[in-house]
Amino acid sequence: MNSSRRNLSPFLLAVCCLSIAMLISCNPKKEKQNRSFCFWKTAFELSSADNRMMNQMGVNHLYIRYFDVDWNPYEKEALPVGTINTYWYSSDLKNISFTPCVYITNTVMENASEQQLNELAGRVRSRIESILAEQSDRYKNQAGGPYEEYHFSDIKINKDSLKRVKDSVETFSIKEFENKISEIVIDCDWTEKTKDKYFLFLKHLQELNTKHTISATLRLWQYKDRETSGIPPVKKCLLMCYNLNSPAQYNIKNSICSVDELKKYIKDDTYPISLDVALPIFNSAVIFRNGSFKGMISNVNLADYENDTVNYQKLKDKLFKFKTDQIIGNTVIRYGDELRVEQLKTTELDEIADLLSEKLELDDDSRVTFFSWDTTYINNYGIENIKKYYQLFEH
Amino acid sequence: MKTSKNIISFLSISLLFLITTPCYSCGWYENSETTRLAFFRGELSGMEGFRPFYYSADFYNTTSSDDAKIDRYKNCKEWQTKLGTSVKIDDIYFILYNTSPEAFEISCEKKELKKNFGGNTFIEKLILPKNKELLIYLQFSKELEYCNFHSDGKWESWDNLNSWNYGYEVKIEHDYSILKDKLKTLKDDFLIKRYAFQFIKISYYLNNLGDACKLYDSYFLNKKGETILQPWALMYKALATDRVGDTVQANYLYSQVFDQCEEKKYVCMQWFNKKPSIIEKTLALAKNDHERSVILSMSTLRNPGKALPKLKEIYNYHPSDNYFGVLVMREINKVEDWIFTPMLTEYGPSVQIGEGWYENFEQTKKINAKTDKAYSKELKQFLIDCHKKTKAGDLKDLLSVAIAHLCFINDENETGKLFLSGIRKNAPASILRQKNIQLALITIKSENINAETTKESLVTNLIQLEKNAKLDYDTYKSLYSLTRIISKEYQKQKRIAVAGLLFLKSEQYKSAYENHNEDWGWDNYQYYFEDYYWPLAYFDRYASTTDIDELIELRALKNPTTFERYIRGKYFSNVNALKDLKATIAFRDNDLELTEKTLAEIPKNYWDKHYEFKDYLNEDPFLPKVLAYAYKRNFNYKFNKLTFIHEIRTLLAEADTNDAKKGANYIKVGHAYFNCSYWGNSWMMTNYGKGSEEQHSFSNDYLFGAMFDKRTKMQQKNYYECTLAKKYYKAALKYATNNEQRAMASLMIYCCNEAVYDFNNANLPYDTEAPKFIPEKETFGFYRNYSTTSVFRKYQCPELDYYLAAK
Repeated sequence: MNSSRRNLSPFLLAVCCLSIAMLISCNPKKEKQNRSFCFWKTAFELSSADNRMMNQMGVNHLYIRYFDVDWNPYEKEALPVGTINTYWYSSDLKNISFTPCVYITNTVMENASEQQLNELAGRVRSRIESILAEQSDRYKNQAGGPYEEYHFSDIKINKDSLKRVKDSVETFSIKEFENKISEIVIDCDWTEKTKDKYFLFLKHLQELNTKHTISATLRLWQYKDRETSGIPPVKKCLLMCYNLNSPAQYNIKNSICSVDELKKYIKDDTYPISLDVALPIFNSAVIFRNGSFKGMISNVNLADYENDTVNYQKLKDKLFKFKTDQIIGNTVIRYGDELRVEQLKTTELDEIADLLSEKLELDDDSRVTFFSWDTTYINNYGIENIKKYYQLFEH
Repeated sequence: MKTSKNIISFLSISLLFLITTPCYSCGWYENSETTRLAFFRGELSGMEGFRPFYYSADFYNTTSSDDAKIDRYKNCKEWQTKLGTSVKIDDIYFILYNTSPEAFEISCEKKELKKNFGGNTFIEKLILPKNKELLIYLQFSKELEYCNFHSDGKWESWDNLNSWNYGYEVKIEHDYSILKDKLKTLKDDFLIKRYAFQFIKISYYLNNLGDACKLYDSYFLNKKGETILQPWALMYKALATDRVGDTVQANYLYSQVFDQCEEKKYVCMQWFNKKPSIIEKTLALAKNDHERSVILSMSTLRNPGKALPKLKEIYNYHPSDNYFGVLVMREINKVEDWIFTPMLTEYGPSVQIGEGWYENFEQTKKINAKTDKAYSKELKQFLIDCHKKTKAGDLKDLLSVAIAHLCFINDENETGKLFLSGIRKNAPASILRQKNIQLALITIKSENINAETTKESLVTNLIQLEKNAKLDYDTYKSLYSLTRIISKEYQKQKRIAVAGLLFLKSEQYKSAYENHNEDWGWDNYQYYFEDYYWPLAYFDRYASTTDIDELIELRALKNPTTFERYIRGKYFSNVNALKDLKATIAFRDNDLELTEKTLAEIPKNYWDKHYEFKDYLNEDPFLPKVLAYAYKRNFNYKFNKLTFIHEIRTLLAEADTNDAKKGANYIKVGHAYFNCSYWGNSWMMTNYGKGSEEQHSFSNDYLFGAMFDKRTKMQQKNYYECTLAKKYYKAALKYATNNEQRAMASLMIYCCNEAVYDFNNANLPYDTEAPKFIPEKETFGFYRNYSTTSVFRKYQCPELDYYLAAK
């Protein structure tokens, strides 16, 4: 009896452990996918350094721009533009979910007939499916490759069974990839004139997409002026808290965002649709000659201009005068031209994040995303600060 | 057997542990245009359109045509003449060339031109009812632009992910028939010419080649009113003529277009047939000397070899200044590429035909230098003759500066100065800049470069050129060449600190030039100089310890002169990198006292945090790596350069005063020197990098040439030949107090010999049989006398047996 109890005990223990493990695996607690970034480049590439950075910030979701749609006046139809290159260079995407985004210009809404918009919904859906298929194929190859290499190379196993195992790895990977995507975001700066057409388009697109929920971006004026802009027929909106002015405007502090400007838009009431929120971390510089817009430089660093007193004279905060003639790209910049750096300081982004986290009513599942993924942008604020912003919205 | 395998494979395996940072010999090469040396650049006003034909090793199709957009501005000017001077040229340019057809079309369709292009004076005029026909034309031409270029492939297709939209092509055919009718109804010559131009273009693209030619003749041939559309339209007639097979006539027409406009020069040159027989026939069609000079110039403008006979021929046809100026500049750039690039870099001329040049590089260089100098003299004489016949003006100034440069090449600086003094004060800016470069070159050759006034004059020139380079990136080429030659002069005078800093400057200018087409500019190449080893590379090869002292002093100067401030740049943010180099050089000189003294000035943990030291100096330096087959290597050893040198010195000092210690201490010192050689575990005490084929590639790097011979002399030849190690093992054998010591000394003498033997044989040509390895007498001693020692038992191996049996 004693002996049998001694033998039984480890067995029971093992059964218990196995059961607990099975319970855990069968009823996984869904992890919140709410720390997000917008990936807006034309080729999808994430290095292992990018992955490390994402892990450090706890990023678990990406909005990925798939393609744009613009109106071609000669063809008299909407056509795709700038489709993402689907090469996958990433060592670890296991913990990241994705939301494909499609930007449709308002010109499309202005020009397309209702019939054309219905057709467009089908085309958008099918193009997203094609990109997803290509991406999952890449993902499969990526997931299958190393797994086979590292786990099977040293194991003596007959080829048939190896193939079976490999097939199961591939099936698992495709499924895993499909699970990463539950939503599609349509981005369009619709107006009062185009809202009806746009909303019809969104409805139609949702009808065609049973697998994914259709969401829409929401600009601040659309958030504020709901009577004029209308409320899009979607379950969720991504509120874009930037691009409040045109960069070509001369007499403004910056076109991206400021807490004072933001206060004009953000009310205390609740938006009737669940919201995700996007904050700006991108930067650029705008060049003016005699108050007229001359061009833009992307990805700049404010400190570079502040420290270079040989070439730039600081006129006021973020505004500089060229002290020397220079060639930037193919443009000759002359002495006296001005350059406005469009980059929010950490203190400014702090204020913006504080205001939004206080005023916006977000759901538990609401995402906070940053526009857009670029290690230079992130380093301008620092990983700890970005984490701090996420945390602001999580409490 | 296992031991035998280990000892045999030891060398080959150890060679695999390469450090990559300082290895410039493989994996990455600079392109020939980057390394090409060129001091001369004299550009007359109006020569800009010829830039694609300036002498360069770049691929022809990497250059762009009409950078200054001269033709386009001519077209804008025609529109301004039509609409009135209140219309700004820049506004016209913006609509014609910087507005997409789609944006223009949508604005037209929605009648929102004024709204979308608010403030544009061109649009304001175009939308007036009286200008309706002009607006219709512009809308039409934008549509054709869309047809031609498809907006650079912006529009994709819904059909699949990787296809573009080309559905619009059919529209061209439709427009073709509209145009025919339209042209009949027009009365305004401005519009007739524009529609006719579009019609000719469409005809060509639709392969209606006869129509294209006829239309040109009807609307442009011998017609009044100069317009840039005429040569543009003629281009399509030339292409159509070429396509129907009339090569000679097409060639003639290409030469006409080439001469009459800028934008089409590049494409004309692409289609122009340079076969001598065709050129001969093309010349027969020419109506005057000017046309003949254009045809001959076109046949010469891409000639990479000696073109002096052609230049003489062209000169007889009285070419225009620009044609002759470009040809002269090309010829001088060729001469200096042939002479200076091999002289001041490790490469042959950048534009060369075939690869045979390198077979006996040094000898070939000498022979070619002689021929090239003779050619430069011949060229100089021709230019002097031309100079005499040329009236005062821009071309005469260009010839003066060109002759002065050829005088410099031939060490005739006084004559050169004479020609420079004749250059007018109001000569083109580029000629005046070149004059300053020539004066700087003369200064280098004829003045004392160590005198403060000379340095001041040189640096003033260099700083001015740097300012010019910010607006004209090609000036970086002059800066690169100039600083390289100045560096060489200081090097000749053994002023290595100054020479090295100027060398770094020249490299920086070279990088800036290399990337000017990619909009990277100067700062993006800063990373080179942030690298640990890269700024040290020159000094690692040429500097003595006193040179490094000078460098350290220069770096620390509180009140540097302009010259000192200019040369010292921002290369060495950490002075300890220089001190470590100084210690390394002292160690190579086997000056242990100076090595220790210098290392003592460096923080103790420096090598843990910088460069690759901790990854390569991490084993016990007193355990010879060659015997690692019999012990377990420990890579966690706490190596410290200072402690190591101090220990060697202590061991030697103790041996000097105590005979009983000599045997043991010399063995230890021998081990230390063995490990600091190419074969040891502490080679990084002596060098910053190591490669697998040192004789061939690693030490023959792209910037500094063959360094192997220099490296062989390091540390009294210890690095490759283990001379010092062997010296101490032999001393140990002499003073040994027991057989264990004698056995170890004998074994290591064998190991030193064997390592050197293997190294030498590994680099023998394939068809050469390796000489037999003949062990020294100590090796036999190891077997005969010490076979009972523990050293023998531990380290004896079948390979030794093999060699002894062979003997």
